Amino acid sequence: MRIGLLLTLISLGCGDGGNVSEIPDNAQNLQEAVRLRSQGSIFLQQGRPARALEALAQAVRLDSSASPAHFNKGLAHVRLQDHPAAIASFERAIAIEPKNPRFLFALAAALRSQHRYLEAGTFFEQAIAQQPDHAEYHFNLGEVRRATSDFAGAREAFSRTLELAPGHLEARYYHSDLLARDQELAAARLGFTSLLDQSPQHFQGLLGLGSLLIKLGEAQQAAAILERAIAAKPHDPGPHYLLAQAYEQADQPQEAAKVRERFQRLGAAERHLNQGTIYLRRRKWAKATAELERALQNDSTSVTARLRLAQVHWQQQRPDKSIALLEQAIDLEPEHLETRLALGEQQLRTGALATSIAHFAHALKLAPDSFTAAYGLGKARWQHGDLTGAVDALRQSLALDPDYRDAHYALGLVYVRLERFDDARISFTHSATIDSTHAESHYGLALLHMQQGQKNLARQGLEKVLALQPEHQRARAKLTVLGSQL
Amino acid sequence: MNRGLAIALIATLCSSCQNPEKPASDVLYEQALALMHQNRFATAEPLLYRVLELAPDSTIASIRLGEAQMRQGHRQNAARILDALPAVARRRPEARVLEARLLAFAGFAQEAELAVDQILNDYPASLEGRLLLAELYLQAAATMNLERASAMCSQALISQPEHRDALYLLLQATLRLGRFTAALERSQTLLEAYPDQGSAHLLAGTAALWADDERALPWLERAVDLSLDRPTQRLEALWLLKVAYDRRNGYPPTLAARYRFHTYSPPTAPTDLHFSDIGREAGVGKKDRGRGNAWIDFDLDGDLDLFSVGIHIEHALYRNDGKRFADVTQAQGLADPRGGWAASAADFDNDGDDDLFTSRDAWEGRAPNSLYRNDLGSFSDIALHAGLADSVDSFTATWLDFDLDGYLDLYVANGISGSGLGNSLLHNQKNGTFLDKAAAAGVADTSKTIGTAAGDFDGDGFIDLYAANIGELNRLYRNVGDGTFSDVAESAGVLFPVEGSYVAFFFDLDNDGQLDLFVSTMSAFPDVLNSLVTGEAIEPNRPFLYHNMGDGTFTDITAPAGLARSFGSMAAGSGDVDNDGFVDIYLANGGPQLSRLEPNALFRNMGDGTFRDITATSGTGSLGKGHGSTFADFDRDGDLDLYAGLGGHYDADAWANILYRNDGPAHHYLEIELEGTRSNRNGLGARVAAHVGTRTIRAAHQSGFGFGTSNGPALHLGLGSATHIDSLDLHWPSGTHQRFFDLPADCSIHIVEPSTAKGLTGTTDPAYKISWRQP
Repeated sequence: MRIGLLLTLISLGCGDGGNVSEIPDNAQNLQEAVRLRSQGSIFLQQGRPARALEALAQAVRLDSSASPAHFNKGLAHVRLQDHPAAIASFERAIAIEPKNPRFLFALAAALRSQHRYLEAGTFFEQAIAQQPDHAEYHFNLGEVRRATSDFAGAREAFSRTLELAPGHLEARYYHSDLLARDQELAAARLGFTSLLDQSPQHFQGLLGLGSLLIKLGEAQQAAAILERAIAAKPHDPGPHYLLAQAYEQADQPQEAAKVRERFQRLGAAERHLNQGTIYLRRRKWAKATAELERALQNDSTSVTARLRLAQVHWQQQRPDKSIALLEQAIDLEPEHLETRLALGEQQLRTGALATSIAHFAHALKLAPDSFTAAYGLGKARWQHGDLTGAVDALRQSLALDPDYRDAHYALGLVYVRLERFDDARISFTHSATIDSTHAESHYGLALLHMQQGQKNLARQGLEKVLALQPEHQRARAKLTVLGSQL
Repeated sequence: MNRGLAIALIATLCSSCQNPEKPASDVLYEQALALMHQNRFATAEPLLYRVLELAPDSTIASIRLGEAQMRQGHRQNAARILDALPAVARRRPEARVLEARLLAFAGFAQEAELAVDQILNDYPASLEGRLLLAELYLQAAATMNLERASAMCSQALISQPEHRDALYLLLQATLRLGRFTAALERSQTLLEAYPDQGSAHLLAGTAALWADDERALPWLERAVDLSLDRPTQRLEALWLLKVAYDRRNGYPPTLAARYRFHTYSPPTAPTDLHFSDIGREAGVGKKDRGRGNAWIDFDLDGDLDLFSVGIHIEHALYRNDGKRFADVTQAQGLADPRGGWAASAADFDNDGDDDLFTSRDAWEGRAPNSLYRNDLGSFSDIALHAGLADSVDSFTATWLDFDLDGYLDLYVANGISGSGLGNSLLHNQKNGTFLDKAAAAGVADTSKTIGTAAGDFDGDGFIDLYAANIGELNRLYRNVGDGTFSDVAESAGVLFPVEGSYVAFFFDLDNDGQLDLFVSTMSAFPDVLNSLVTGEAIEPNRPFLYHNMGDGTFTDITAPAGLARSFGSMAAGSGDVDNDGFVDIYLANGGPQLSRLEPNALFRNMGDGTFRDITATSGTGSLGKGHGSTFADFDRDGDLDLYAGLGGHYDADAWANILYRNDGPAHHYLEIELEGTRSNRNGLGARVAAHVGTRTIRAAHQSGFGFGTSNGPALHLGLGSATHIDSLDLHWPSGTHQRFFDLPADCSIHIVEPSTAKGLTGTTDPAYKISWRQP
């Protein structure tokens, strides 16, 4: 599913217009179901799919007749990447409300995410039948038709998308691409040109137009377009291949040779990078190192290869090498989020806290909605002694992912250091609620109880810790102390 | 029911429903175990970690965690977990089974078998041990014994009649043994025990498909329905369902979309090129789990005969009498029951008739290869005398005259079974014997070499070598010219593919005079199915088409050429099937699993650097597991026909080899038979360039490529619409260059190399003779 559209769907959710007008078998249950549906919808809008799912699953158990509950549950499943479960929920929503275009669209999108394109196509068509003027529905239909080799059908769908939304970039690209396939070169050219007018850096559009101009024998223009593509993605071999063709066509053999050589090297780098990444996933460190080093030999400015190689070194307990590679990567591309995060994390673990803070802070500037950046920043500031700053960052991380146990727990620890015990208790309670088997959260709570003289509660808490983790020596020691006090 | 009984029943029910005393760790462990029984090791893993958090002393949880790690391919992690166990825990049968499993996983199947035998001695009731043994008998080449696998499973089922793994393994063994009726019965049993498991339905559906039983459709449909949360399994079920429906004239119009497999295929140019399978009627449709094959005119009667080899079965030599083929294997001394893998023809002793080479025993371990010398049409295996009967694990082999001494040498791929044996470069001593000079020449690659190819990629007159390796980077050995080679694969840019490399061949894809290179890849079946759906390959596990840039480097043009998809190509062949002057590619696909029914594929070279899939329209997409695929105009009608050796790993996976007769239409052609005098007699390594109008059509003569096989002995040039050749340049390996003018098309010419001259010879001499062919 297209992320943008999915997010829109989720942010809208489905208002709880549940059909509760029928006479209830159990009025209390139905009332509770309404409450849970509403709660689930709020959780969903807050970006807390796990909590939303919990509430909505209960809601449908109590009352399975409300289509919005199934629909929202489906959306929660989508957010949790459980597409098969999402499909089942959307199907149940549709069984209740067969003509709801949003339900039909959501089901189609979930089916498509599972590569079940033929089925997806059917439901996109049904959604369109209910809401014929929705450009996104037509666009998605075009995409699944294209994926099932129904190129004429795809072209028609993209065409309709563009009638409804002339500024739809992806529809413009695919439509132009299909025109080019059908040898309607003039129309394709117009399409690509229009796309690039709207979005001058559209990479696929640049490649499409470049390729088309080569076909039309307009080598110089093709070269100019392809140079733009290379500027947009300098490490991608694709435009280099086409550019070499353009230079050959333009009778510029030296330039062609130069670009082809670059294509060969970038292609080799990409292959080694792919292979190295496969070895990295399989934890075959020596082979991964060899492949990734080859990738770097072929593309000496590759940030991705450095990042992967740094991962290998880190896994192999070679933090110095890892950090050196990441620093090189940052020099090459200072705004690379993944590298900043990796450096932040590795510097944190090696105790270079000021540097870690700087990288996480930079990452957070680059991506203000990055949970990892905010959480990392919180941890780094905490360890560095900037407790107030840590609170800010950890709270920011929890605004982005309110159900992350360790962030609540870390925040609890910071509050303890700040002697904000009530806040600490709330945080530990959150982390213990999210994961009732997390011994450390219970231990934190128990200590707070001790600190406030609530000995019975403290003892119960410590016993719980020991039930969860019998070898928890600190809890045992505290319990002994407590025993002697009681 | 009286009240007392009711209370007792309620109490019983309650006690079975509730288990308030059970610790959380036990509950989690049971959940993890259940997931592992469903092969959901990744999902089970975090549960096991959780169990170990709650109960750090649980050795059984540690062992299971090790097993989960191992099953996901994390062998080192599993080994670490095992090592960390206390000594007493390591003596537990579960730990010992895991240890044995690790041995098997590391490729030490026989050692693993011994270890399990010991476990069963100590713990005769160890079900896990018994089932691991069954797995070893079922899957590992070194310990393959399907009957024993069956027996092990049957024994396990006595104590636990519904044991899931035992039922699965037993059905697999039965299927691989080709006992389809019994497999159907066992499928029924499996489905009764596990009616809600998609994998059970998939396996049963596969069995029904092989048994050609109607139940394949409902079982596979059910497999689709039950596999919605397992995309790979669902895709496989969908594919097999398509195969089942294809056998019944395709999907019925009423079939729901969710049961239809769809493919992404770019629009293809229409072709009316068509082939007919005449293997059976021609008498060459042998079921030998076909491996290599070679076209040869062994009796020098002018008709192309056919040599075909399969696994552990007598070879076949079919004499072509101009109308049909007669099996003359026995009479000509080739009824060698050892069978073989690669099969190629070459006149190694320059006596005017082609001899035959067969390699053994590839994955199955070491065995001597064979060289059958042709003496007036009668063959005898002289491998021992010739010095090439060492016990090796050879796969493909390629003929070349690497030192240009006029005698053909042989480069043999060894080590595929993991023996560590280096490849051999067998130097022809000109007296019927060979000497291995691989080490001195620098080509004794000790990787698992599987594919070999020979060609003068840099045009310096010396034949170079390519070695495709499994799990290691490939090699391009440049022939330095002094008897040694240097590996230039990295600088040339031809290192890939790495993991699934299979076979290779050189050919001039665009007639620019530079030999290009194709390397096939054996991709995993799920990758192939995904690739069919998305039209994209799983990078970098795909075939590689390398375009020779003429400066010592190659460019990977697979994607722009339209070949960047995942295939399970165990072999590949090349020939210009439509005589348009551009060489086409045939991919011989498949894999060991019985459920892997992947069509072979024919790609037409469009002449603009791209290839189009014409499998369906040409009728060449057999589902038989593809191996040696060779082209020759056996019926002398001017177009290239195709012989495809078919058959899988297991006895049950037997398919009749296919002779695809090319029914055209095809353009004009020229066949060139070479007779070397200063060069090797076959003229292998010779290069020709036919100039027709503004075009030049080129070819290089080779034997032993693709699956180590041989196309017809003549060079076949498609000429497109040209009805005559303006001029023809022929470069012999000796350096002799001949040029001929105004040659007719649609005939065969025989050219003898001048015995003394070097450089450009006179062009007016009647140095060739024309033989016209009758369709």
